[in-house]
Amino acid sequence: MHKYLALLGLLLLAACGSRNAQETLAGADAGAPGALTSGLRYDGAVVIVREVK
Amino acid sequence: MKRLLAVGVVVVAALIGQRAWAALTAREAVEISAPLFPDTVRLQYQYGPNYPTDQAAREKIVDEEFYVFEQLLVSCQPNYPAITLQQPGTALTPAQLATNFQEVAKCSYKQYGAKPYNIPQLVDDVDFCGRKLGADWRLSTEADLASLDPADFQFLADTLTAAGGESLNGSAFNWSSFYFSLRIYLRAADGTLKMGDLSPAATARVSPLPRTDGGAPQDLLTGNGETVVVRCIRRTPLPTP
Repeated sequence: MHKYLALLGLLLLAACGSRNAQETLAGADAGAPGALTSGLRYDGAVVIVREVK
Repeated sequence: MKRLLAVGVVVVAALIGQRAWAALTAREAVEISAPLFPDTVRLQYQYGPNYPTDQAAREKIVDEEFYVFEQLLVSCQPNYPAITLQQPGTALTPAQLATNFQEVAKCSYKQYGAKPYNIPQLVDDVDFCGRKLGADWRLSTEADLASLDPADFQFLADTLTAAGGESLNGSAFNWSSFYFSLRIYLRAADGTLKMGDLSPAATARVSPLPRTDGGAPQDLLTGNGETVVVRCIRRTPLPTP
């Protein structure tokens, strides 16, 4: 029983971490200050989201 | 016991798989700032023999005589009412952002007499990017430019073109040259200050600063026809999708 609880806890932790990261990105409007989505931003910066090779 | 072992193997395999997937799909955000704007009316009294010998005075020049884009949005808005200032909790549309960019470019030229002048020794001596934008911003390096793809340079140029810089390669409008310039001050691999070229079609990404008058680094660099600007860079790793 404890094993399954431990496993469940691990899976939940992993899921929460992933979800938080996605929400941080999705919650940022493209042009808003500090946004990290590609395009022109309010502060005049151009943001390029790219894959690292 | 066997069941426990099997569960452990599955968990470890999943973690390893996740890490491997993350390595394959690693992403980053590259932020390239708008040019830092020199108040050349004031800067003209700081170069050559007037260039300060103490660091505090040099930093004061950067603090007081260079403006970031957001400062100009605010100071230009009364005379350029097409500028939309962002209110907390709201986001501007792409069209509003483009209009803001065009209006600041016009204002910087008409109201502040924008000139692509700077003092290379000052760029060398003072951390412009850290002081004006924050500790994690810096001058681009030769390695930065080498690590970007043709598609990245194209995206940068396309974004500025869409923002109204239809004349990246020469313009009938004097005001367009400064904010749309893709020629930047850059820290070269040998540690010296050089000119970087972010243009998609650049034949050389790094070259000496365009000075043919034999001037000293503490003299004013007017660019000899090139508009060289201080654009800062920040690179941030992003979570995998």
